[in-house]
Amino acid sequence: MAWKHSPVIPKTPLSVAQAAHQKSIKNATHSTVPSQTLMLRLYRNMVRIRAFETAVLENARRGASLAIHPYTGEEAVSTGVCSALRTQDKVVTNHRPFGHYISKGGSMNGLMAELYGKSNGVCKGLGGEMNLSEPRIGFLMSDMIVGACITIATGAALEEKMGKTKNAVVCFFGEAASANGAFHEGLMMACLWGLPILYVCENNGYSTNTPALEFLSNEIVAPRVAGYGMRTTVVDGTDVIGVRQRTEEALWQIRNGGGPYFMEVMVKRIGPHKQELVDSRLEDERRLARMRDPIIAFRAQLVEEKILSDPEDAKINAEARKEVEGAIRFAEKGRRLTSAQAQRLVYSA
Amino acid sequence: MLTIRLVEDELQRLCLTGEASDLHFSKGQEAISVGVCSELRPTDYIVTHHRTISPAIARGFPMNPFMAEILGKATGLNKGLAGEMHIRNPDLRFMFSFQLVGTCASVAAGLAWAVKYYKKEDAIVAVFLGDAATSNAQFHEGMNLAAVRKVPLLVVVEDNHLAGNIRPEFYLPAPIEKRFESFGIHASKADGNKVDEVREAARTCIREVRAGGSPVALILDTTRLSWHKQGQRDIRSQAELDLLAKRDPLLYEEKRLGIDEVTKTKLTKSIEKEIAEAVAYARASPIPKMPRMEA
Repeated sequence: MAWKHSPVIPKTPLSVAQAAHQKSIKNATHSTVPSQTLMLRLYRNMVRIRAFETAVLENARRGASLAIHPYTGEEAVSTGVCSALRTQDKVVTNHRPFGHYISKGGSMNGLMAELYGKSNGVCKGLGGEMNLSEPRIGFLMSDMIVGACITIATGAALEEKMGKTKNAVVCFFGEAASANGAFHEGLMMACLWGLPILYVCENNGYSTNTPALEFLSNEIVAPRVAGYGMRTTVVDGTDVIGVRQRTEEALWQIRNGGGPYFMEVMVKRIGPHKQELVDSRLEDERRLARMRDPIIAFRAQLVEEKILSDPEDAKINAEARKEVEGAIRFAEKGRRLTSAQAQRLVYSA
Repeated sequence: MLTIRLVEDELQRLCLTGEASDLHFSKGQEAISVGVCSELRPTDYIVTHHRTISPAIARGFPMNPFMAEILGKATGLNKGLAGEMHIRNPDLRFMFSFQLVGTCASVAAGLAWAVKYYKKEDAIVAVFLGDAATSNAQFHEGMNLAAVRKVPLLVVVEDNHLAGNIRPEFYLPAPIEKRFESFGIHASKADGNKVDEVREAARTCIREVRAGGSPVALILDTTRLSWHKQGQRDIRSQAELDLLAKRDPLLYEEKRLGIDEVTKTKLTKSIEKEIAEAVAYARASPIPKMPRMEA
């Protein structure tokens, strides 16, 4: 499922007054106030991501051979950003791709089967979590090497620019990637060539278990990026509506030839860096992360606005769990590729 | 400065006869190495880019082995195996030179880290790099770590507004000082073609590095009067070069010190004699025996 975004592009020529009016509206804000239906859809998406991960982690504990980088606590970022994208917009992500994949409209069945390494997975079980790709829905790829996705996404944006499309490319990465040289070169080229790309830095304050100040000259990445002459914005990562609105504004700029845009989202990672890896952050830090859970915050907001009632909430949760269970059944039914079959699918072996 | 200019002129002649390989000259940028090196202590370290002739002479390399090294002879400083772009002289704490643009930044950051935390010396590291190097990934990683670890590093940017034959609008999206500021590194600017101004700025910066123990950048605006590399055509027009030649650091220095023709000729003669001796020494030296390469 991909969200439709309707830009205001007039088909017929406008009178001068009309054009001025349109421009003044556009200048006021390029973001929209989400409807109740949309809010519920955003909430459902966040719950789906959480349900998916919870199930995967539980299965892994029970002995299934799965190893994932949990996205727990950062769901609002991918949900907010991807909800403002069109299907043909491209996404390139890092080693933590489920949230982005599900939000971009990927199927849970295919993803689960991929994690299980089965042939009915998205990449026939050969990619796994960290080399996921489904160009059909605009999910270009995930890359396990920290920072590498940035230059790749910049290349994808160059393709869009040379093809004169109106599409944007979104690149997700963490704050640790900004200490990498690929970050510097990628952002610089995007600035020099005015590429249609939105960089989304999910700043969770830790590189595995190392606090950001140990490896970054500035905890917040955005000021560093301003040094390239790129527009930047910093958003609270627990606020899904805020993330969506900022994304809409950024995309408006990007689609109208404004060049690259950098959005930093401050989040807290609730889970460990990687399942089965010891989380050595202080207990206080972990408790703070749990307190900033975006799903709980958004649910409270929806309940207060009377958009969501308790039975509806229970229904959404039950549906998500059912979907995940279906995905697990789907994955377990699948078969692994034989070595010969797998070798036919890769460029070199 | 005159020595550097004359050595380079001589080497350029040797390039044309085929005795020296294709070298990178710093004609027009001599004031930077001379000014900065004169403010460094003998205990301070130096890491440079691919234009090594100027900083090497400014650091006081002995002429004979230096010339032999450039001409690839066995009596050279590094046995003739390093050549112009890898030359080093640990005795003078001239630690590394790199032909890969930008690499020197991260290596210098590491060296400064070692100097401060492992050797615990009261020394600083000066790194010379060009403006194009600041667009390189290595520069980014090096500066980030230098700022995080607070290492005593002086970054001297020789801003000649060219990368080979490419203009800055193709490799620099924003001013260089902004890039340093984004890491929290203080950057100051000066005219790199006036040796007294370079010395003044370098003195302030070096004092700042020693006092604060953290990196400081010095951006020096300069002109490259020679080609990027021997044998590579220059895309700049003659008119532009003539305009740049007016900013020649040697002209400025002559005027400042009030050197007359007689003194200049006398100086030139004595330096040329030294150079001729060095070249003769290098010519008489054997070529190096190839060491066995272990695969």
